[in-house]
Amino acid sequence: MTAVPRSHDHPDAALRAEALESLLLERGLVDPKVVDGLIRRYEDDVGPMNGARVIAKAWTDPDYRRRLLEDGTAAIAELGYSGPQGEHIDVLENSEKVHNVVVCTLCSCYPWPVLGLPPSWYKDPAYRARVVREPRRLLAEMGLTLDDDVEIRVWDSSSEVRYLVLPERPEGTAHLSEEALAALVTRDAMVGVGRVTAP
Amino acid sequence: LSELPVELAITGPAAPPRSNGEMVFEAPWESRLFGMTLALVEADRFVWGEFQQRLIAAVGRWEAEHPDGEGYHYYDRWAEALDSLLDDLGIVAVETTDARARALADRPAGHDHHHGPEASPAAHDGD
Repeated sequence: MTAVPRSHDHPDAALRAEALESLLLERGLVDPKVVDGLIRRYEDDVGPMNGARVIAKAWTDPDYRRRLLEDGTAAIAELGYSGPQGEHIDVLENSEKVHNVVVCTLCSCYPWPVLGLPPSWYKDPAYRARVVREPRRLLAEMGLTLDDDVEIRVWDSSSEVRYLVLPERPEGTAHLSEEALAALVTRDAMVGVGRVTAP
Repeated sequence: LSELPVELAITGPAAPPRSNGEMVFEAPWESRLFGMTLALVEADRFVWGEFQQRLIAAVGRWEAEHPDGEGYHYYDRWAEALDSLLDDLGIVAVETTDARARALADRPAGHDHHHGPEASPAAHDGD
C-alpha cells in the first residue's frame, strides 16, 4: 500500500496535530520520544487494572478499606498509583441503599492513575447531561437497573477532586483471592455505571 | 449544562461499553495531541490547570453552539484548548500552526516513505 496513513475521518485535525508537533520539535519544546513514552504509558500501563487492585484490596483488608475511604489519594498511593489527575481522589462507597455514579459535566475530568483515560461515552455530551438529569433511566439504558429504593448519588468531578466508586463485593466470592477479585472489577463499576458480578 | 435531548448511542464510538476493552484513542493524532500536552506540562511550559480551564471553555462554547450535542469530538475541543493556550503564552501562534498544516497538506503523496536513492516505489508495495 502506498496510501498516506492519515486519519480517514478527520484529515484536518490530523494535519494540525502533526503541524503543531513539528513546530514544537523545531523550537525544542517537546521531545518526540517523551511524547511517545507518555502515550505508551496511558495506552499500556495506566488503566482500570490499577483501580481494580485498589478495590480488591479494600474488599479483603478492612484496615485498607478504612484508610481508602478516609483519604483516597494516600491509600491509592500506597499501591504505587499517583500522577496527573490523581492529586485528590475521593472514594465513594456503594451499599445496598446507596449507589454512587461519577461524571464531569464541564470537561471530562477522570482519575487517570486508577482508571486510565476516559472512554468515549464518559466524554459524550449525552452522558454528561443525562446522568445529572435522569440518572436512573440512563443507568438502566447502560445495563444497570437499580431498585427504586436505592438512592443514586451523582458526583460531578471538579478541577480539584476526582472520584472512584468502591462497588459492592458480589455474593459468592468469599473463597476468591485478592488477585482473582481484582480480575472481576470493571472500569464501569468503578465509575458507577455497572456492578461487579461473581464469575 | 444545557438540556440535551440526545439519546445515548447504542453503537459506534460513543456507545456505552460493557467491558474495559475499547481503544483509548480513536485516531493517532488524538494520542499525539494528548502526549504533546502532557509533555509541555512536564516541561513546565504551563500547568495542567491552565490547560483544563481552556478545555472547559472550549467544551462549553461548543455545547452552547450545538444544543443537540450531535457531532461532538472531545479531542477537537482539546486541540482548540491547546491552540488558544499556546497562542496566548506566545509559544506557537494559531496562524503558524495553520500555515504549517497547509504546507503539510501540499506534500506529494507518499512523502513519508523514506526511499533510498535506488529504491523504486514498487519495492515498498508491502508496507
